[in-house]
Amino acid sequence: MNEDIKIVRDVVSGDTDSFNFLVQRYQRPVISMINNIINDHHLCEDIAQDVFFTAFRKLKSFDPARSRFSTWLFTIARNKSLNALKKKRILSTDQIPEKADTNTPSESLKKREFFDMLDKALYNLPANQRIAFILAEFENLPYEEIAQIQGAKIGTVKSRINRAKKKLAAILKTLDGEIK
Amino acid sequence: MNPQQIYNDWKEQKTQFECSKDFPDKLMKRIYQHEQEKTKPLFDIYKILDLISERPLAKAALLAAGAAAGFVRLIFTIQMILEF
Repeated sequence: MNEDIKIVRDVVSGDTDSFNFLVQRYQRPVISMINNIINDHHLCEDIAQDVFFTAFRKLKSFDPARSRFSTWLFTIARNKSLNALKKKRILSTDQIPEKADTNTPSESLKKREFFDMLDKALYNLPANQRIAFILAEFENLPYEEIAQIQGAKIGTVKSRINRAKKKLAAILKTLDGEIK
Repeated sequence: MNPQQIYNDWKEQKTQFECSKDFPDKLMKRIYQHEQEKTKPLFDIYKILDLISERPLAKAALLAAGAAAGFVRLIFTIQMILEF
């Protein structure tokens, strides 16, 4: 977005307050993306704070000719999330509820359990597949942008997303059986 | 409730994330602090004077160092006069 580039230029030339516009614009997608990657509500805002702070400090190195600001920001968020995953080993299947109990009477409870099954499948995906899937399905980013964020080829990104979708489709298939 | 509907609802739920309201304020405060620290000189004489005045031992050490320097200077001056 051209507006982003204008704000970046203002911030770089000393107008620190303008950075708040970028924070307001991107806080939700960045925090949501981090939360979906690391699956930790408490930690995701701290990591997001680090992401924006790093972005502010390195803003001079952002090159609008190479990528959009959002792509650059999501790349920082991706790297910080992966570091957090490595450090804390958040990706523990112990935190994710076990398979749904289909005898639960309430439909909303059942739905919650199905969501938990999908969550479990999502958090069991390899990190690269999960990030590609999250960026494509939840953040609706185009393949080109995801490829830039992940530092991979478009074909690789497509295959990561397809593999992730296949695994989740298998879960949905079992749900189909349970619903019937 | 069909699997596609469940998937769509799940997706929607994953994208609805409520950020805490003070998120931008906290961040901007951190940024302003960082900016302030950047503009601070590395050698702040007033900060050093404050630190010394708060510590009696540092004050005594400074006084002793001053007296020693004065004494050495006096010896040198006397030596120079005697050499003439």
